[in-house]
Amino acid sequence: MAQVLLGLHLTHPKDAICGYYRSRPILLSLGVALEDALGSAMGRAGGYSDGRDIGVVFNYPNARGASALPMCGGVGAQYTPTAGYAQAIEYHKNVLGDRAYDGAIGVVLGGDASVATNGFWAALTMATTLKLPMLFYVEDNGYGISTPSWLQTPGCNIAQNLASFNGLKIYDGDGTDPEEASYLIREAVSHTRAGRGPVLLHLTVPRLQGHSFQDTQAYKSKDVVEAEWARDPLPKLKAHVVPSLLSETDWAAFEASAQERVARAAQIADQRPVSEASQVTRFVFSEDGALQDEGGLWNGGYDAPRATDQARPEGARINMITAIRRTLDHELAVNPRVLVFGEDVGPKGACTV
Amino acid sequence: MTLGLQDKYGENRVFDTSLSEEGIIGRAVGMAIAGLMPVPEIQFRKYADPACEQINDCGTMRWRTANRFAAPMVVRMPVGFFRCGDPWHSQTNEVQFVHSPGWRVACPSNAEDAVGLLRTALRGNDPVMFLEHRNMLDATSARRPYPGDDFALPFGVAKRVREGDAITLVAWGAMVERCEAAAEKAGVSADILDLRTLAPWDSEAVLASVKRTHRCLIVHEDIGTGGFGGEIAAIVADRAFLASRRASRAPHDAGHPLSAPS
Repeated sequence: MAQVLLGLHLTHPKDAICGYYRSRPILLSLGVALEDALGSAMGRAGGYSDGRDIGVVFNYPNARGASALPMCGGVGAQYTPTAGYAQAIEYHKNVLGDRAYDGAIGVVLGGDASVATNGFWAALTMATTLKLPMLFYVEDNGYGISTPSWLQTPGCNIAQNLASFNGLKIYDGDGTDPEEASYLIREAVSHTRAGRGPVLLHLTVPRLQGHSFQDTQAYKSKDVVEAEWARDPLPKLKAHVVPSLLSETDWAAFEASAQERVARAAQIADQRPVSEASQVTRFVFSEDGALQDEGGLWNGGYDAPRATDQARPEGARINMITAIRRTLDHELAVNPRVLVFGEDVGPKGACTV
Repeated sequence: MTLGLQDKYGENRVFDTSLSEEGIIGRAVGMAIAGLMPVPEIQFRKYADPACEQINDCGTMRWRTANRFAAPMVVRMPVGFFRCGDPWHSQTNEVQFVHSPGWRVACPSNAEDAVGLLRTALRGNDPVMFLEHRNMLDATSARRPYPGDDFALPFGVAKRVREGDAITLVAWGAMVERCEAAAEKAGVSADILDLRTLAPWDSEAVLASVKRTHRCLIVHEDIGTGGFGGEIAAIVADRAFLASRRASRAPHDAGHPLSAPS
């Protein structure tokens, strides 16, 4: 429920999210087709990877609203690319003067276990030191597969632990309470969008099923499982809107319609073939005449300056340091989308040998 | 290497980062998807290790999204032995990047090739590892006149730096000048090929030379096992030596450079 609420706020065409393997709800709310979501998990042709990835990680080029940066099977890998995207938003605004990026944000989704990863801390440092328009959305269901969250962050609550972190606005609450979750998500998104710096939103949610189909959750006691089902957000949502906004009949009609759409999509997905074997080796590298939908210079209408493989030697012999610096200098001059960064590359001019 | 560039282009375009290599490469991934051409620098080859996950995920991005997304960038880093060695500042280990699907890998041996390969990388549509050998950065043998602002070299084209017919020497980076010096000292008529890039590498040039000289010596700067020289040796053995003795196709098959579907 909370993911869908978040998705409803991400309408800026330059917003981007990067999620993980539990991010299907927000992807559906952004516009991913049901049959793609189901078919990709079955490894079928089409969809967002043509049967090439694990199926529960998504990517979604989206010109109308938030794109989903390609997710990865590795937990924590989603954080630093989102921070990079958020820094690119600032670059587009401040260096390239592109007003289309005004108010855009980067949103990263992670679970409670992901806050122990290198990527989380690397991105947190980047976002806070550079005051990036980035929202860290952390869903805390208490478990990383079977590992309890007290091993991931002391006291189990990353929001409490980061309360004194400089430059980070914290929101923390119950992700299953429609009113509270809706309020917190709205506040978190508007704080980020207003350019007031990064936000960490920590929402507690139950994990109603195991990590995967093979995971029977035998490591949880019966009481724990019952307590988790008691926090199922769907009945809470129903209680929140019926009868105040909807009648029982309306709700039942919505449920029936959703079930029918899912069943139809599952049927379509199931009828999809596996991808064509002759095509499976394509796109390890770029191919002429087949530009990617998003990323890189070329699909943005880049027109490379003319080039020749014939050297026209000029001046005295220079060493490789000067040669590389001069090439970077020229390309920085002719292409405003080139940027150079790393440890000590600024005033010091890099630590070469 | 980047001295003076921040003064000229400002702190938004040339800047220091926090000390996290995963952060440096992950940041570049997000920027590349947003349509920029990031040029992240890793301080020494060994320090790319904390960024392995982002490097691997960046390389497979185009394939695993069926060409929906790509993150072209140019990662620069010094590699190799220079004056004194230690386990953190002297590694080459180019082969790890060659073994990461989706990455192009450049190992220039001199200033002219460095200009040409870097320019191609900066205007390209794939992620590139640009490996700058520490021993070549200020070496006399690596100095060349600046080849011009339009000079750009294709990847996968070896350069014959010395022509001969007694033996083929295959090298790249800092080993090129050593091969030249050794051939000179030994008075051997060596056909010396500077591969210039390892992904892709110019197997045709190597095979054509070996078929002429009937001898091949591969000189790489790496530990004894698992270096890229082993890959070259396998291909040469298969397609030049074994193929000439057997009617049937030799068994070596490196496979296609992509990850297996899950």
